[in-house]
This record gives sequence, C-alpha cells and structure tokens, in this order.
Amino acid sequence: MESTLDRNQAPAVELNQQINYILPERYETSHGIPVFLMRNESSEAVKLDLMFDAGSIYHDSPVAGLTAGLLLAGTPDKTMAEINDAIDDFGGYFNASVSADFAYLSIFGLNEITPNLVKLIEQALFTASFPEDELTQLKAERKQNLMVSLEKVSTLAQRNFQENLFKGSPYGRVTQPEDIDRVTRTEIIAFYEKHIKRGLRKINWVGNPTHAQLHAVIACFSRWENTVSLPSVPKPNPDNSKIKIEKKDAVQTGIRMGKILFDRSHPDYHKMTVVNTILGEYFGSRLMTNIREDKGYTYGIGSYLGENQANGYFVIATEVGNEFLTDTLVQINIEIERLRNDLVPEEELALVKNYLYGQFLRGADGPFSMMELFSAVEIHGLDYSYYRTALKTIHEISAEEIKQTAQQHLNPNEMLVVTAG
Amino acid sequence: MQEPMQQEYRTLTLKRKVPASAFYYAFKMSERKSEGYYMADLLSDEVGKDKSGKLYLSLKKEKSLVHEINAYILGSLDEGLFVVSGKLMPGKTFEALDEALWAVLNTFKTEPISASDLNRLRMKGKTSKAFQEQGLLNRAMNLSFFQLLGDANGINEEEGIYNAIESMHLQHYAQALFTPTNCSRLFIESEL
Repeated sequence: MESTLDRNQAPAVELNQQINYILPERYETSHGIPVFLMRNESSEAVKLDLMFDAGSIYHDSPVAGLTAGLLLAGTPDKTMAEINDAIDDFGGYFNASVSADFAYLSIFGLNEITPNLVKLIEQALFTASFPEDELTQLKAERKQNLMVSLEKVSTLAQRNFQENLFKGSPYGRVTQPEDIDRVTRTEIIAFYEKHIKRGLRKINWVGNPTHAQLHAVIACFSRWENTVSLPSVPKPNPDNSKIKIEKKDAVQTGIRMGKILFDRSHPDYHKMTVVNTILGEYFGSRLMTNIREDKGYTYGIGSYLGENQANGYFVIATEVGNEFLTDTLVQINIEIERLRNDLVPEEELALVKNYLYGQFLRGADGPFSMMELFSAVEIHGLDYSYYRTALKTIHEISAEEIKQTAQQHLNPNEMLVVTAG
Repeated sequence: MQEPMQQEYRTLTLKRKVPASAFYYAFKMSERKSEGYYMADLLSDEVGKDKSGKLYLSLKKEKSLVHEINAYILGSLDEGLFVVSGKLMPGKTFEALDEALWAVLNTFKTEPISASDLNRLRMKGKTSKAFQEQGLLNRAMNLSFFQLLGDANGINEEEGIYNAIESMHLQHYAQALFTPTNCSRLFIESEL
C-alpha cells in the first residue's frame, strides 16, 4: 500500500455526488406506532430513539423538560440508582432530551443485550413514578443551570430573539427561573400520562437484530399509544424591530438577527441552503472572513437555517467585543447586500458547491448518520428525494439564481435585530 | 522528553466575576502506550462518568455539595491528566467540597472495586468502543492513530488489555494517582 503513495503530490480531489440512500425496514407496534430499523451489519452497536409528542410547546410552564429529565428516575419498586445500575449491568447508556416539538429517549447498547435492555427501560418508563425528591433535585439543578446561563450575553440575545421572532406562538415561550420552582409533581404526572404514555410518535432503531430479537423489542411497546393531536399553533407575529438589552459589566455583546422564513418543503429551500452557506455556514464564509479574519471583532460568526414543526427561520448569531457592535452590524448588512446585488465569483461558488457535496457525503457516513437523514425528512412527511433534489439544486444553481434568492428572502429591513451586552 | 515528576501539592484560588464557582483537580497520569493509561480510563468511568460515577452519587445526590461533577482523562500520546472538575452548589464551600472529594478518591486507594462494578465498567467500555468505530471517517481516524502509536493492529488488542485489568490493578493505580503531590488544584470563586 505505502509504495503507491507519492507524498510529494496532494491526492486528487474526487467528489461523489451519487449517494446511495438506504431505506430502513418499517414495522409497526400493535397500536400502529412505526418502528424504523436501519440495519447496521458491520458492528454490534445499537441505538434506539423513542420519540414522543411531548415537546415544550405543549405546556406553558417548563413541565416538558422536567418530565423528560425524570423519565427513568424511579418506579414504585425501583429507585433511580437501581434503574441506573441495571442499565449499567447491560453496558447500556441512555439520554433524555426535549425540543420544542418532541421529547426523545435514546438507548445505546449492543445487539446481544438489546431485548433485555429495552425491556428494562420500557418497564421503568411505563411505570415511572416521578419521586418528589428527584423532582426537587432536578428543579434545583435546572434552575441553577438557567441562572448561570442568564449571565451570558449569548443566552440573553438568543432568548429575546426567540421571544420576539415567535411572538404570539408557543415557540416564543422562554422559561424564567421562578417558573421552574412552580412546577408540581401533579403537573408532571398529568403531562406524562398524556404526552409520553399516550404520545409515542415513532421508534428509530439502528442495529442488527435477529428475527426473535426484532419481535421481542417490538412486542415491548405493545402497550404504548399515540393519541396526541398536533396543536394548531398560531402563526407567529414577529416584531421586526431593533431590540437592545442592557447587561452590566458584560465585555461582549451578543447579536441575533433574522426572520421567519420557510421550512424544507418550500421550493426555494435548497437555493437558500447555498445562499446561507456562502454567507455564514462554513469557516470560510463571508461573515467569518470579514468579521473574524479581517476585522478581528469575534471568534466566530455564523448564519443558520433552523426549523421546528410549524416554522422555518433564518438567523445570524455572534458575540463581539462591545466596542465593535456598531461596525459589526454595518458589516453584516454589507455582506447581505453584497449577496443581493453582486454575482458570486465563479471560484467561490465552485468551492461552496464542493463543500456542500462533502457535507452531504459526510452526513451519509454509516447507518447512524443514514438514520438521522431519514428521520429528519420523514418527520416532515418527506423522503430521500429531498436530498437528491438538494444535490441537484446545488449542482445546477447559478450565480444569478443565488442573487435572486438573496434578493427575495434576505431583506435586512425585514429582520429582527437583538443585541445584548 | 517528559516533565520531571511533580513533588508538591499545587493549589491556587482565584476570585473572578463568573456566574458559578468552579473547581479543577488535575492528576498526572500515564502515557498512551502504557497499561496505566487503560487503568486511568476505567478508573475515570468508575469515579466520575455520568450519573453512575461515585463522585456524582456522593457529592451531588447524597451531599448536594456540587451542581455538577465529572471525571475524565486528557491525553494524546505523552503523559496526560486525570481531571475531576465541576461547579459548586451556591452556598457550599470549597473546604467542604475538598474534604468530601478526597474522601471518595481515598476509598479507591483502600478498597478494591467490587466484581460487579468491574463487570459493569467492562460492559460499558465494550459499548463505548463499538460506538467509537461507527462510520468510515472514525474507522480511518482510529486506524491512523494506532499506526501513529506504532501498530495499526493495536486497535484490535484494546479489548484484551481492558479485560486483563483486575480490581487489584485499579486499586494500585489509584494509590499512585490520587496523592496530593501528584495533584494540581484550581478553585475559581464567583464574586457575583
């Protein structure tokens, strides 16, 4: 092998735009909850993601996060420590988290122990008792985390941006420390009954089970249902003003700037992916080159296309030294206007296209990544053709189309600007 | 070239306008190619990984002294650091923390880890390793790293090394590791 490598020559760049997207096998529990199985034939590693319609939008106080945090905190006959020990004995791990829309419980382990591990966790989940002392401890921990976080200008800017961008919608709700104090065990149990026990949306499973293991695991979930009806969420009424939050003694200022856009089902979404990448999505982006490399105002600046179940949005985020705030905002506007008025040079466009092909390839590396790709589109009712269209759009897009897309969707006057510092 | 052996307990306390008081204990540990590295790795899981770690159970669940606490190892090829770090619960003192933390570390020097705990560590290690090898990029990186250490096949030998480690080995290793003269301690006190 080594003799064929000439280390004086950089390896040739070969970009593969043909990605083989693999469909998971689809099963159902007895109540019709989908179980997607992505085969992982080259390894014993297993991950099961249980996804519940139990995100933070379903309650106006921080009940969803606390519920998710206590899912494996005890049952009438097992303490949290006993449950943890039993999971450890199988060499298993778990992680619970919550987003605006969903709660997730991820289980990690090996094929041989999957049915036993899942049986154990399913039992603990289904009979979860939410012990008062564990709730008290978790509340104290969450409150302390939040208090620490509220000292950061990045958090202050982010929260205010979220509140104002999604004004009038549950996506715009933010938690205050005293909200955490007020959550009761009764509220948690009611939320759990409605959104966890009767809110299992789907199971994503990466592994290589035998026939018997497969059916044993699916049978574990025969007592789970989903009766949650998706909320009719009011459209946000964003406030496109300039908001300034004062934070005494802060050395930096957090900036969030953006607007409600559209989600990935919109015809211009892939074009916006290219526009966003050029502007601020990779290390060599225009925002990074100007505001970090050239001016030295920040360690990092980026722009993102985000989405939840109801909205897509665009945001630019950074923290800069206080004295650079005014010019940073000027430079951000210059970079947006440059995209709206000038054609992207050929060389830059070629580089961004190659970068994006690479990102798509890397995103498809192995069954775990493939499952994430599948789940991300499946949850929006889309399929793998989404990625094929994305690659095709990236391949075909011209500098003129990029300019038009930026003109249409990135008007700085339509953007909310929040600064905190 | 390695640093000369540390001879003294090094401590420093800083007062800063930071949102929480933080503590760091760093112990000098073995280089990557030695068996000690693997022992330190297992020991860090037992001492402070996730919610099963002994420090979490004692200092957080039982005594509510800390808001968060973790143990982990840092090191690539040369001698590295075994680090215990975390944040104090508001209202608790560094003195109380220090006493409780050394008490937990000292148990690893005086008592061997139970057979069931050791088995758990091995099982969890097996799972972690399976996950570290996911994806072509990770496999290529791991193979290159072992080749850099001297032999790409080393990647296949790790499980054997972990399985050969017994409670007694971990106890001996803890005795050398968890001594004040091998430790540098930093407290950062919040002035807010």
